[in-house]
Amino acid sequence: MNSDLDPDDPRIEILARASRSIAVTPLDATQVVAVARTRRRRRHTAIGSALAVATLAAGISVATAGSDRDVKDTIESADTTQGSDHQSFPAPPEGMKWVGQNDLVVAVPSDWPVIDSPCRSGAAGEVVNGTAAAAVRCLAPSPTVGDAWVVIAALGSGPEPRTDRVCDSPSTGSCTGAEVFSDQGISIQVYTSGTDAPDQLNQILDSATVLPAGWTTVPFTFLSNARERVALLEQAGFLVDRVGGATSGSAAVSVTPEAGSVVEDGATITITITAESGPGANSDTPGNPVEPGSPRRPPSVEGNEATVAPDLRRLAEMFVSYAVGDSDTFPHAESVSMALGGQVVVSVDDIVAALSNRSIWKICPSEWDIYGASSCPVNLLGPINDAAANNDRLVYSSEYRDVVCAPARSGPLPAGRLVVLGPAQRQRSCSSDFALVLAADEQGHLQSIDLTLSAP
Amino acid sequence: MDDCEDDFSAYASGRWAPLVRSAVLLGCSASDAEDVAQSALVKTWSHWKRVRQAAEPDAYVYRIMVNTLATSRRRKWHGEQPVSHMPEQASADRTTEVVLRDAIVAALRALPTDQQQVLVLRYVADLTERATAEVLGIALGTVKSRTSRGIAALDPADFSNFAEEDS
Repeated sequence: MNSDLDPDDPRIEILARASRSIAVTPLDATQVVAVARTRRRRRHTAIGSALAVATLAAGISVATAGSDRDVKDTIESADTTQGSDHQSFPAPPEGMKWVGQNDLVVAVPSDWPVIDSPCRSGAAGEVVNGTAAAAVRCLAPSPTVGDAWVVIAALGSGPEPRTDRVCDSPSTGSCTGAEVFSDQGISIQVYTSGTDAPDQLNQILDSATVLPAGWTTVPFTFLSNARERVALLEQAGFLVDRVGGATSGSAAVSVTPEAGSVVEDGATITITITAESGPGANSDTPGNPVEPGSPRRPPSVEGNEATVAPDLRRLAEMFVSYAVGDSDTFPHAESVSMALGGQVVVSVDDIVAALSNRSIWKICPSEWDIYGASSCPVNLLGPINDAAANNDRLVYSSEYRDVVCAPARSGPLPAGRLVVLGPAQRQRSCSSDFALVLAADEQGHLQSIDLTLSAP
Repeated sequence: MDDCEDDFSAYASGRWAPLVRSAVLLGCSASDAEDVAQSALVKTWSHWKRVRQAAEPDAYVYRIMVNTLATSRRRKWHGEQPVSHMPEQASADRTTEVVLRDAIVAALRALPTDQQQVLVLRYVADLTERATAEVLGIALGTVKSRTSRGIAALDPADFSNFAEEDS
């Protein structure tokens, strides 16, 4: 089914032409006004009489009987323009929640997480922000039975989705569909699977609703650091309540209510800023707040200068500085591929735009719950931050060496010129070893990164 | 006549024809369609100060019309109050147009009511998707899907004789 109708569809043209063929005699609008006034007078008289009777019966004076103020609208149900600008908004169906962008929302199951990035985590059902999908290319997890997701994207941020609603064979039971809402400037794409895939697809897309005046949604702020998020929300008219102090570039941020939620115009949004807390740090998990004015010192680095090219050494040093928040960038190619233990997870195509958002370094293949000693998503910057926090030394070399107690790697080392960061020999153990492989191009620009972790 | 009445008269005159045509294509006879349209405009005048300030005044008028039709289907339509000068019916012999109109009416009647309403409001009344959603009290996404299903259910073969004519 294609809901993006061709305005030149001959059936639409014939429908319009058929309607024009219906002869209509001109309207005398004064007659309409005359009828309306006659009705109003009759109604006032009737109401006045009824009130007078009631007054006599109760012995109560009704001084205002028959006035305009006593006339009740008999067509209240047809009047959506009455009242203040702030209209009520219906609750979502039971077990569902509204989520959307700008002033358009759809109803999704209330237990679906909303992810402020275009990269799916692999949950059975989730809502992702597709606006940066063209810049950040995610290697989407393979769908499984029961899998489902919704992608909300700003129009113009990438190719418009096809608006077909298509279900494949019942044996695989998956459906895809989309709608484009030009007036609201967004598109909604839906994937569903399982026995109720067609119903769920239609239920979500058909629920798309424009919010009435006075309501809006919490903006998605992917690719923004904490400081930028605060500014974006304030520019959008929200009051921002900051929890956790400084808006350090390396801080993780959670937003409450979550992105996409329906809120009143000017509502208070709480931004919680938390410190990174190791390889498994999750931006949604509160941690130790970052104290203002306490920059983290980069870990000291020792290496075999004879085997590491100067440009790769420079890349390693600048990457470590970036990881701990001492700098905002490092030498990089246009896109950077990210992998865990040889498993490529994501390729960030517009790394310049993505660098300010430290959460892009938190990755995991969809089918993984843990990797090594860390739960998913795993922060590629985590081992460097841990070393900085513990005053541990890092070493780098031009060759990969096996990581103690690491699970078998599931793919090859990234291609390119390598510089490998890890703990000093004396600090390698089943609970602390790692190898962070930076693969650079001929100019010494990072093009791939691969982290191997130990597993106690 | 005051400014408010002037304003309403201009609005009503502009909406009269599509209102009547919409009612016809939703299943009314010509005379009942004019009664329904007049009823909708009478009620609109009663609330005109508010309606004229609304973002979608047409949504208000058509919502009354749709509600009136729904009510009249549950009980016999008793008609609008007579006015002093009843409009005369057009009497031109326009066979092709009548055949086309009958074909469209028959095709629309074969559709579920909710699809009929959406197609008529979108392509006869020329309402936006958002106004159509407001009229019918449904979600914007539902307007899109009902429109799609309704158009898809119209068999092009039923109208092949009319497709190449100039409008």
